Amino acid sequence: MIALGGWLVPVGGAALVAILELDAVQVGQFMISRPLVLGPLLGLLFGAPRIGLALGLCCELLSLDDMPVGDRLPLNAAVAVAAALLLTRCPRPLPVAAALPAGLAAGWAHQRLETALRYRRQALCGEAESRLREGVTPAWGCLMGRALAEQAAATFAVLLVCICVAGPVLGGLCSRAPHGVLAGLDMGWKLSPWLGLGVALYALRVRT
Amino acid sequence: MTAGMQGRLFGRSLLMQAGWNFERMQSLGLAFCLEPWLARCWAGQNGAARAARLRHQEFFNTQPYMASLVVGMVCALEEEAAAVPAGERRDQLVQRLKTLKTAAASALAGMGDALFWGALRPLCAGLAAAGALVLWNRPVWAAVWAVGAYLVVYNALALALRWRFLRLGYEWRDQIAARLKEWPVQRVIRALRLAGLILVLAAAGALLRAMPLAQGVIGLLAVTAALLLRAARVSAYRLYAAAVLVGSAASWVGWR
Repeated sequence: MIALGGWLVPVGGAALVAILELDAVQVGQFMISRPLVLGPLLGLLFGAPRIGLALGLCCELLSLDDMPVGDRLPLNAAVAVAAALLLTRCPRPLPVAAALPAGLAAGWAHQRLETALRYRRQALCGEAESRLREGVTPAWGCLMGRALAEQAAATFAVLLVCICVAGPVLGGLCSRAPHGVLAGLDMGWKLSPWLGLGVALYALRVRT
Repeated sequence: MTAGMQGRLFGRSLLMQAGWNFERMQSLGLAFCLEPWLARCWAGQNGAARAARLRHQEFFNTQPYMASLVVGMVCALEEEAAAVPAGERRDQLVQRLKTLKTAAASALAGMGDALFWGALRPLCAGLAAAGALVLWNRPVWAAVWAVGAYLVVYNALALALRWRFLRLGYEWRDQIAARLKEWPVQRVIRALRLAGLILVLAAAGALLRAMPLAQGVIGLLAVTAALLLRAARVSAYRLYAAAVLVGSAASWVGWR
């Protein structure tokens, strides 16, 4: 029961993130899914608000000028910050300096999966059109619901793989990693807010 | 358009991108959004209603917030087309609607991207980052409140504009481009970016103050390198990966 209890919190967190992530593109865009909001929110829920805030700040600044323009799909920053935070709260927790790159990798994996889902969703348009040609009004709500459910399931799957597979594997690797690797991760973590500030300054440059 | 109908359209417009795909992009979301309006406009004209639903199955894409303006305009033009009897005049109105919808969507996309993604969002992120870093040494709730400001400021502006855009699109009809030219959008974008820039500099100042001198100098070098390399189109994530590699290499050669 204790072991199960240890997994319940991150798995429950993954389910929550799967719903909140829909805000990034599909529902509303209220910015709830931005790392600087999601990080502290999850941090508060998991009893690590300062780690959540720090991870959220770094991911927010690094992703600030990565804009979802046209058909461009940036690395999923919401999944990145959530995965990084969940990896620090697993039964075999990662140090935060190692959790950040693992989170970014999860955000990249999610981006690939979402690209595939966007191709898959084309079928929904065809389905709606053929229903209309048959003279029947499509159940728009069902079509939208399917698209949302698939996206949420994909997010949950990525986070679950992170927690259940990547977490233990990376935890083991970290404990055996040469000092140089850990020092590099530490340097990356310490420099990430500075690099993020540089990115933010670039994003906000005022052009005349 | 009644307030109730505006509310329904507004609620549905929040799902404009739920069915986003590479083939027709936001067409599914637009069709879902327009459904109550089309059902009302074309009530009792089954064939025409089906044709109206089918014409919004075509490719459509714009910035999701600016989509409210297009939805408002489409509603007005659909209403106009539904008010005339079937025939050549209606066909002309429908053709005009399709042309205006496509033109408005692409023109508004660029403006919306620059205004919301390129100015308002970084400004609010800068506000939250500066607040969080200035309040870092206080109890964590203080910094979390700074993050709450991100949500409040952004949504107060964005949601109010999205609601208003729906009504303006309906009132302006085919005059959207001409009416928007009267708005000082570029000046607003520049002002928002300047304010954001000041906030990010304040965040950098707060971070610098909390660091020992040597770390602060390295931090400032990292900011400069990031600024220059972003200008050379190096992605932020590659910059981070480079920092990790440099840290590892430094450790292996014995530099601390």
